Amino acid sequence: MDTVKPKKDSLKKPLLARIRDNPNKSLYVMLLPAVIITLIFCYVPMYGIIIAFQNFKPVRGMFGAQEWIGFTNFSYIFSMPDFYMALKNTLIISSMKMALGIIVPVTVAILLNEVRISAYKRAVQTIVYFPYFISWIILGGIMIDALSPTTGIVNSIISFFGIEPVYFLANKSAFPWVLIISEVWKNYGFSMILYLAAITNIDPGLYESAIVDGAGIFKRMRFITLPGLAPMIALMAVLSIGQLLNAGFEQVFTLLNDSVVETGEIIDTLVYKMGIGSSMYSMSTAVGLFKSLVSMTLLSFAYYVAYKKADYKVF
Amino acid sequence: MKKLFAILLAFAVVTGISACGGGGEEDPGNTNIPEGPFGKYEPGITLTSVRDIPNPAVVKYPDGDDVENNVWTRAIKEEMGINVKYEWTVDSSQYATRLNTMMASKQFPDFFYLTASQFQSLVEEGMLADLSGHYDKYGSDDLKRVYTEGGDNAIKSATVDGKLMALPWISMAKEDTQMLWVRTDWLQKLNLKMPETMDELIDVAIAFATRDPDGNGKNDTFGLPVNGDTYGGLMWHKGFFNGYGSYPLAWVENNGKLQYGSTLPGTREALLKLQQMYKRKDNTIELEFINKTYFSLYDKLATGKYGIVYGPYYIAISPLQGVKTRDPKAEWKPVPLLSKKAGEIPKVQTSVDVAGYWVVSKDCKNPEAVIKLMNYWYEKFYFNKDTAIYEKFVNGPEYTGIYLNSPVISYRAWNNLEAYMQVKDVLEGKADKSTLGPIPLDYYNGIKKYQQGDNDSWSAQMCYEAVMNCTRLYKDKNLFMNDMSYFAIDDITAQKFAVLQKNEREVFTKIIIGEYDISKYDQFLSDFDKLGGKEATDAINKWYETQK
Repeated sequence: MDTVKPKKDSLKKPLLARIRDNPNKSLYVMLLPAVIITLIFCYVPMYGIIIAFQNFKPVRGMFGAQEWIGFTNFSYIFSMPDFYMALKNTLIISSMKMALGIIVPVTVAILLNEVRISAYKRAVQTIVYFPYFISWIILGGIMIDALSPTTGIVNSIISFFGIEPVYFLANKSAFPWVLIISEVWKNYGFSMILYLAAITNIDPGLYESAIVDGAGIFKRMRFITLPGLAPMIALMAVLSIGQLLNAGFEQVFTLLNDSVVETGEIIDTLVYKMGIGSSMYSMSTAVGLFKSLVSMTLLSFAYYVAYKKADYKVF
Repeated sequence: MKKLFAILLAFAVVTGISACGGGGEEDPGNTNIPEGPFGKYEPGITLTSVRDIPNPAVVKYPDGDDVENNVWTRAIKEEMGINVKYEWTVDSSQYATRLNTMMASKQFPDFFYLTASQFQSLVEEGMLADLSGHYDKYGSDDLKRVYTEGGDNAIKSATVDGKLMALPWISMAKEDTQMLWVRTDWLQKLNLKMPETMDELIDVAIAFATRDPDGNGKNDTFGLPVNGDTYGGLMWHKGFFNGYGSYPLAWVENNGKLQYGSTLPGTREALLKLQQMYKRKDNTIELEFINKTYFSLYDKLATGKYGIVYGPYYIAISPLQGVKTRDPKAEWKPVPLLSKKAGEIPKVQTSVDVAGYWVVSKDCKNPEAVIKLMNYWYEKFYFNKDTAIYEKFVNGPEYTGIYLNSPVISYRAWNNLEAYMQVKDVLEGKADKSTLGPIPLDYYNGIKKYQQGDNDSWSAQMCYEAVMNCTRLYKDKNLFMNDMSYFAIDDITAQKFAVLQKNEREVFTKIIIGEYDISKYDQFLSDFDKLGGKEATDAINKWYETQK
């Protein structure tokens, strides 16, 4: 169904008549459930943000006489001794995950696109997509075994080449890389499929004329495939930059241990240890609010840049 | 914008109305309170409550029964005239969250159980009924005996400004204290004697890790189990710390004042010994313990990879029975904790014997009925000698764990010790088997089965030996170091303490794996004072003075 633009003069009519005459009214009705659900589950709960500024005690009631304490929760969080260390780790781990999370799937998608044997292509797609579905709790256990310095397969391979075994999960400089590489390995199959889909949208005529003009396979990748993928890459980058302060709680929580906190502790695990587990609602809301504000700022900025520089629009 | 506001307002009104709905039901209650601890209400009364659903793996119901309608609820209605109605029931993992939500909506049932900090906040808000008079008047003699047999801490912790504001849920903390378990068949095989000091224990641990005690030709055994979570789990090595006079995580009395147990002088030596053991890199302490969960440790114990473990008497049932089932030649011996000096038993770490609190809403019309429910529970669960009643209310041949359906539950500080003492008399021929109540009889039958050659009943015999050799000794010589932190510390202190304990775990773990030198412990001590530990200690001692 095509939407029809209501006539300008209709705005002067009474409300009911305007609704009756609006040619798009069935569309609005269909939109209604989504609007209501968004309202109930996304907008109404925003009221709960106020508990970040309270010393919230459940027994006094959600709407009851809570004690207002201003920014005390925030100053507590920012004054936690390891907060800046955790913030730094979060930014490093998360930005590396983000960068590799774009580079790796784009590269693999472009390479896979050149593969002409379709059975092989499909097999590779399925295999690299598979880890995306496994939860970190299970993968974490597998990784602890695989990376073990005594019995793990990775160290068996390393020592085959005569190198000393490395205790990856207790090694301060190796630990963030374990996090980054394993996260990228787990998720790149999913993004790769998105990029492959975007590649199929590129006009085959471009390739044909490029071949006629004598462009080799790498020239075609560089000047046709990559520019064709640019909007998709921009979209993925804009979406992921909002997640900058989420370095992946489940993953880090499963793999983190006391010997690598200096490089492995992220904001989420720090706050968890500081007592979110023991019903400190106000503090966890304050952290959530802080992270949302940062995400909102980054997202707006990234969108603005994408819009101005790459002429890219989501809306 | 106006419309949006109207919708929001509508929501507020709707939720507001439903929040008020709970208090509306007026129940006149029964002013005619029957005399005595077991008098029946005529006409019957209704009490509302909320509860978690007992673990379905343990509790099975006959057709048509469930947690809201079962042997217990029917018997209570019939014999006591009390009809218990649950406003909601929820899986036990959800109980705490659901309870907080309920508290936020201010809809309280007549009675329910909660944790110490929740109890504290409800008292502060004045939501609870004063039970002092009712407890004195309607509490049965057995109830009063049970509540004080483990010391007066339980009642004290439920008393605020001289008023009894809750019935404590007594736990078995003193019977749960740790002892040292050693594989004696491994000792024999390696020609070692039973360790009597901490140093000898460490030597045995090294031998168990390096000299292939299970004789399978593989280097797959370990010395001392150390849990990667550092603290936590049934078998974490706190007994090892206790051996050096250190009481991690507990607030213990030292020279008349309370002190945080991880700052006691013995901690340094315990950490140093652990560091030396780890430094050997021969699995005296498992090399990768920091990545291993409690379950991994449990698994290794059950499959016979360890010959030393700290734990309470009932680890004989699991995981140690698993070792015996795999290898009938395996022999474990439980002994009291060791210290640096042979023959000197250190005090063993224990907590206050309260697992939670049963509270009564101030709006409840018949607060004394909850005391009566508790009387009823203790009579049926502990003081009954009739096997038929035991099988109906506690554990039947067909349905197990029936007792978990009682609307109120609380245990006894010394029930198992008492039961095993009775068993001992029968085993030694001083008393007749017919004098045993259902619980000791169960224990007795297990031991007899083992003596007749049933390898799977080995744990019954070991539990008996462990309680006789260790728990009884701890009690007779009063070797308990009580954790006195059952009071609710205020939020600011709690937040500061979270920082301190995080720091503690990191420093201790790094000292054990040798990344930090032991001198870091001295820095930990000074950091502890600087980061709020001193304030916390002062606050706690101020509270402690009022308790004396």
